[in-house]
Amino acid sequence: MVNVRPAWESIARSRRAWLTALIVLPACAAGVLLDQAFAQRLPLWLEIPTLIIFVLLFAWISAGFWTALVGFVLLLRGGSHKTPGSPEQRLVQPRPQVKTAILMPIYNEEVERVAAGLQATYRSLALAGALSHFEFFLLSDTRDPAVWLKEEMAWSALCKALQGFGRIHYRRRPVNNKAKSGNVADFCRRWGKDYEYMVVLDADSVMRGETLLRLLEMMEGNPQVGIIQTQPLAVNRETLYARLQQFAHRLYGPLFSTGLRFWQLGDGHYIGHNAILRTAPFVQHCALPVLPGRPPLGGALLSHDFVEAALMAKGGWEVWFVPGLEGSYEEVPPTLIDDLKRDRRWAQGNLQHLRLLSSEGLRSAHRFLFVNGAMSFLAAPLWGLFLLLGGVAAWHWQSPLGLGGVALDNAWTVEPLPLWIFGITATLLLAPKFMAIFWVFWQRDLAVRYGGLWRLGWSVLLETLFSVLMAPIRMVFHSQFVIQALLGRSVRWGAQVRGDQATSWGDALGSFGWCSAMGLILAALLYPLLGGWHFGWLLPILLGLSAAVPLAVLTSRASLGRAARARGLFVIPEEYCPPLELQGLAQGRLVDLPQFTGDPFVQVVVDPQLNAIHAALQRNRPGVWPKAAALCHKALALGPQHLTGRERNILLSDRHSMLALHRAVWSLADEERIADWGVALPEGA
Amino acid sequence: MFKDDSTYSVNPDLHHDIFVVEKNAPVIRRIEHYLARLQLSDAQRLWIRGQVLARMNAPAEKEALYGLAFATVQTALATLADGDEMDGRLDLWAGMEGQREEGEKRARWLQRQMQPPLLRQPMASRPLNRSLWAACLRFLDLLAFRRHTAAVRRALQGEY
Repeated sequence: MVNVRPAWESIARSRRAWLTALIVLPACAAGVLLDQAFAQRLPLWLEIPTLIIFVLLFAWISAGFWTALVGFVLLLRGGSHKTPGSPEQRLVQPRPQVKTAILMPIYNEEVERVAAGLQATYRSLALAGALSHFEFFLLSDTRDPAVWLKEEMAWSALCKALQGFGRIHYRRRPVNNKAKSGNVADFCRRWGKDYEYMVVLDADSVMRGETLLRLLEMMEGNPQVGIIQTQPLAVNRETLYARLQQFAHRLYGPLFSTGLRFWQLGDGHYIGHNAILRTAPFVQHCALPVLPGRPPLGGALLSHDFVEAALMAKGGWEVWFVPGLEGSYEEVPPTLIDDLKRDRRWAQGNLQHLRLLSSEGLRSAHRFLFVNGAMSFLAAPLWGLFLLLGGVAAWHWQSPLGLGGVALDNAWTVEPLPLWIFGITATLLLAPKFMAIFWVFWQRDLAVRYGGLWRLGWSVLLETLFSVLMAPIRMVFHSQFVIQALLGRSVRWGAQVRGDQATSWGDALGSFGWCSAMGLILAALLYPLLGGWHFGWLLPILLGLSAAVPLAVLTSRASLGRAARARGLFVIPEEYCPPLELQGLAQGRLVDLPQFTGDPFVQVVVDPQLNAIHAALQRNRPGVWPKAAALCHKALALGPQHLTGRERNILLSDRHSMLALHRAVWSLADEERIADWGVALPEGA
Repeated sequence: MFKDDSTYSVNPDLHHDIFVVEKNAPVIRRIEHYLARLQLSDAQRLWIRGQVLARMNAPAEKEALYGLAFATVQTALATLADGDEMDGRLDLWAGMEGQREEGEKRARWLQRQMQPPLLRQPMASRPLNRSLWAACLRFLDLLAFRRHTAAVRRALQGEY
């Protein structure tokens, strides 16, 4: 390798200059035209902020439109992997000694799902004949002792069932410093030296063996590359909400990701999972800084992935996004509530990124990604403000005196916004959907995999309807998240919900009741104030807000999702013809995991084999023995149900205590006390 | 690994055993319940049971009988495994003798499978100059076409 600028850099620079022009010039032009429409109607104090926000929002949505358009053209022409420097062009068979660690950081997750995903990936790798280059690490940050024990037993069962001893590893961190990024960093410090590459997965990720091998070949053939990110497809969910998301990701995603790749080239992004990383430069450059001040905008970074990509690029390494590589999967949150919970964490993390904008040495592409990420959430309050200003403007028109004394004679018939602006905005937002349909139509067999062209059309129509209704709900919640972050309210690190759990009416009322009430109250207030014509413009927003509670409940139902699927709606190609690894995932849920019918702690104390496995995996910790002895006495005298989670963790982390407790329970003479441990036998058994 | 069945006797004194079992029925029932949870061969189970029954002859208070019986089970398991009883229980679960190093304990082996040997290295964040003033100066430099980046990328031969 030589230290000369690679060819793709100048290509990327010119493309980004075009993108900037395509975003900025039309936004400014639209602003000037709108100003002409406003000039005679609004006072200056209302006109200026409305125009500024309009230009910002217009630029924001036009960036998406141009990205989709470029992606559409590229897809019709056969992909984006032919640019000089693309890692797909240089594949080299991995050297025999090369080792890649597949990391699966977990935190109080549903163990069966984690084990099933790991099994599916493991078996797919074995099928691809590439197992010798890969080792798996389950990196647990779990605090709940019951989940910890399930993870440990799942690990031992998986190793036994897959003959994966020495290839599947498990580590639980007793201290969860810096959440997921800290977990990965802990791996790097302990074992990173031994693995040239690492693939980071999420708890719900599945990757095809051939895809992992291809990533490894790309890394071997491109020693200048630090990170290669795949585009994970959303699969496997059954609730209506998740199926809508899956469908939208699968149908529109390729356009956006191909377009994104076109602008980014070697300055790509990293989303924290389903990617391969070169370990040594990651260790050298990607340890995350701690921002001065306290959370939410200071302290440890909540959203680590974008920053890690930026630091990797700052260190002189390329980061590539390869959307064309298939066989990478993830799952989306099952309900609107869960999605918003995740958004809240992301909102805080992305706002923190703004404090890194001035950092020396970062590539401009990554600074843009920071702004783009923050705008995903800042756009909500901006939109809200725009609506508010629009409402004030409409009231101003309706008022015979007007706020600035410029009343209009024909106020009832004047549009709140010129129709051409509405037309352009709708085109920018809806055009990617039509492009996606056209692209599916263009690919001969693809329409069938979406349930046929007719059903695809219906699915897009319904998905658009749901998006329109949910957009105002997201707007108010995202605005709330931004305001809370700015006011200094931080979010806590919580486990994600990964099962298809329906939202109850009570929960929906608790979370969205205020939203529905706000929609209804606004509707009641605005109709007499604005009149039918202006009110009609706000109707989709007020309708979405008012319907928040039933929308949250109904879209969380797996039965409705299944009914939609039975009618061929929101079907994705991976459901029409499931790939082997996803079939394996469904089967994997059933294989060989120890079943805990009661309290896992009690079972690990009582069962001779589970106790031996768990105790063998712990060290003797003489430091805790005095405390542990007292806890053993408490458990034996009062029963295990009287131990707190923390007390159980103390006992569970010491081998000597677990062996002693096992012996003591089986030696109990009192039949009542031993019944607490589930050991008592019926008379005559 | 567990001793071969042929290396120990499993010929119990049935007449004497019936007497002991009748006398200590609840204790024996619990021990059998415990043994049923282990994947023992018939010979192993019978031998351990025989060891327990032999110990039940010794005079002991009722309260101590459960402890005595269970301690005997653990001693017997350790004897069968030629080591400690926890390794014995692990052996019964894993049954993968070939992968262990000579003389390596099962518990140590399992720990090694769970976590490979450590190869520690430091990973600390590098200083990041986030000063707004410095950023403004860099921006002015950029406008004046005096561009400089922190690190020059590595290009492959034939790519630049």
